[in-house]
Amino acid sequence: MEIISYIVWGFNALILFYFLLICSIYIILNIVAFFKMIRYNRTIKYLDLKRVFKLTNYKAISVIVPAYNEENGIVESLKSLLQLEYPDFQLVVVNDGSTDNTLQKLFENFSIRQVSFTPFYKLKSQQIRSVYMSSEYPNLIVIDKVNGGKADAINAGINLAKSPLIAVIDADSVLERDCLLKIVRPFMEDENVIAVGGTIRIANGSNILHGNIVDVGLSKSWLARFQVVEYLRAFLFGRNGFDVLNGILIISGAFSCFSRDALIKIDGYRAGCIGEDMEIIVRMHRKLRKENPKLRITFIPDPVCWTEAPETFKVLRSQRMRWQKGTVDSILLHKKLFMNPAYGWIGMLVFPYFALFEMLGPVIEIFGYFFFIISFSFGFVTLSFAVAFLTTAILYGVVLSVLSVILEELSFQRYPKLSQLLTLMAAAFLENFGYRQLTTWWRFRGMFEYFTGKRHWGQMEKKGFAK
Amino acid sequence: MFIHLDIFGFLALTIFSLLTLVYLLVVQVVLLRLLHGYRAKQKQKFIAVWEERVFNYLENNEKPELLIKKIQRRKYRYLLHYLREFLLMLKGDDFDRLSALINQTKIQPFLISRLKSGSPRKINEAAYFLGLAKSGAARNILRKKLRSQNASVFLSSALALARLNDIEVVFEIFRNAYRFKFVSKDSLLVIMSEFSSDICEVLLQNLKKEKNALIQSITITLFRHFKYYPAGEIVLKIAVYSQNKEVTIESIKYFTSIEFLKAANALRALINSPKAEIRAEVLKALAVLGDSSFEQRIWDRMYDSEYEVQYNAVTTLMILIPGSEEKISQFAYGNLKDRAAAIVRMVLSERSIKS
Repeated sequence: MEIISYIVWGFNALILFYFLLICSIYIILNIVAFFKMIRYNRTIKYLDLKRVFKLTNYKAISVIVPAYNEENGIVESLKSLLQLEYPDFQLVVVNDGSTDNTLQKLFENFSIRQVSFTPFYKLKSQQIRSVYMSSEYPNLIVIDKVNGGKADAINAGINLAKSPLIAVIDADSVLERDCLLKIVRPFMEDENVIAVGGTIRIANGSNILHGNIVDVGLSKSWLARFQVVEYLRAFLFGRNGFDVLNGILIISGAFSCFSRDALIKIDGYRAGCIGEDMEIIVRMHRKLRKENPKLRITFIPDPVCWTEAPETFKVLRSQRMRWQKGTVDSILLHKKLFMNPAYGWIGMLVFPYFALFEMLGPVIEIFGYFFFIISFSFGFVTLSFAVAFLTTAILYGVVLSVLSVILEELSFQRYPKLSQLLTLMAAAFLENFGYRQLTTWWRFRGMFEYFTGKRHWGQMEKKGFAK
Repeated sequence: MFIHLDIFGFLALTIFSLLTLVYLLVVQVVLLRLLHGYRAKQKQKFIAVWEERVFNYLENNEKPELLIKKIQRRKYRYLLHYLREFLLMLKGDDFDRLSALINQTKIQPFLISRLKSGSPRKINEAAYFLGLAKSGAARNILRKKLRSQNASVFLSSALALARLNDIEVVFEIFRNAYRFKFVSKDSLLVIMSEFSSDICEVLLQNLKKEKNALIQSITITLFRHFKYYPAGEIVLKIAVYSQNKEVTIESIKYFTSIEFLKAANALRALINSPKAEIRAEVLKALAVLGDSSFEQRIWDRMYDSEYEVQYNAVTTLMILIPGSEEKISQFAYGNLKDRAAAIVRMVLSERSIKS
């Protein structure tokens, strides 16, 4: 009995150590990100970016927009995208075999006409049926192709993109007008940069007019509010912190920017992959940075893109399960990186972190909670241990969530009203009592489904922005 | 009373303390937000009153110190931020009148005292406005600030000195910029472009012996910005021998902008550069600087592996060689299986839609 008691105690202590470790890593990332952002903001505060672009050898960008059954929002989205501030960009819309009237809407609204075409590159993609250009907007190109999924559509877009830089965005993303000016800066400053990501924010509750954010607001749904805090945590200090180690392993598919040459070298996106946005970055580290360790995949903290968050449990569950499958898929596909000194920080620290905390995290946490409840009920752990466990597992999380809101307030201050700030603080507190555990459970289920063979993408319903 | 804590109790207590600390931070952030809101309202009220006063001041001959006397010292910043856009946009008499509100009043010593403070935030703001108002009294302090260990202080001081057109510090700015990871080419360009075109002569003398590619590139960009013709010969030598892509591209752009015909021969060699961006830029330049002797070389570039190069080849041929459109069409539609011809068909198709 004594041995069992020791084993149970030991297991609980391990779980406690796990929670302590992950939260402490986050605290360190938070501190690193805080100083990085202070420096970043001070450095660019008085620089007029638009003026710089008139002077320098700026690089042209092709913005690829994969679209599948987007008839409701595509016109507004493209009109907004065509207004982006950048001296030389091309918009490449890829109609990925939509079964609705997406292509028809483009005909009606953008005066597109068929042109002769030849792909410049040979990335694998489904057959391209036709290519169109707009006589009204000379920088708009529409590719109509057989359905093949998002990664396949992006590859088709890359094959016909003219510019040395490629930005990939979701058709329903709302971009900041100066997002291209900001995202391209790292490429201009350092020729070793091959990919750049920016901060994605939640648009629910904001006032969006003609595809532009007019007033930043918060949704009335607490589910969406919790996600606002989650995104702040993930982007403001998660990615910012890892960036210091050149350790970005994921750039959101909602908005990312790449060097075209780098994309071509790694044969573009992997079609049929569940989490293509993470997979491509991990592959870039694996294939390109091994050849040239100076290459950088980096991140800018500026909010560049706004996206719609799920407001129902059903859709959120589906999203989180899909994300988890994507994470597992990418990590297992590139397991060679794990603890591999040939890949430097990525192999020895960042990849193991993702494997342990992002991939296996839900399993450890779910078993940990379950085991703790059983152990406590049967008196295997002391009251002081129980308090320590709950404090670490929950209250440490509160500290991190609140810190991320503070970081937003001290840096970008995008939520203008005091009531919004207080609501976010409340959400940062409350999300640790139920919401975080629920998402962990969904991620656990996602992993279970992945290993039991259910690796399909699933449906993502979106309500759409009202205006 | 002393409470005995085991390791777990201690851990829980530590996290509780951390949580308390974070909530104290929350209180501070909320207070800061309230203060910020209060100041924003004050600023609005201030501008509502002062907008008219400033316009009256510009129209009449009121003395600046009489106007500024009406403002409390703590509200100087409201006025400065209000004036910012005007100081950036205006030139001539209006600029002189507005800058006098800073240079000939108590605002100048106020800003200089902030410039001497230890706070980077205060220094940056003061340097920015003193530079914007071309306040010569701050020159010596700003020069000292170029040696600051803080990147933002260095940048704001350099920008202010550039606005003061203090050409003596140009190379000190370059030298000091190397100390900071965050100071990039575009930051330096923003600063350098704030000098007057007099900077070109100084930069030209330096370019003759300068080996650093970044400084070469910035210098040539500035020559292009100021359309400075006398640097043509020196830049031509650099363009021919430089191994740096940026320097070569900047040089070609510079030749195009000043229509430097002597560069045409150098372009003849660069048209076959292994770097596609250089080939594309050369073709663009040839549309301005080339002649019919380039025809065959441009035709050869129709078979280039890069679309941008092919596109520029077609466009340049059409501009440079009269009647070439027909020949290009024959090439495009007479070789249906040829990849280069397919690309040219695409270019023609795009051009027809654009026109």
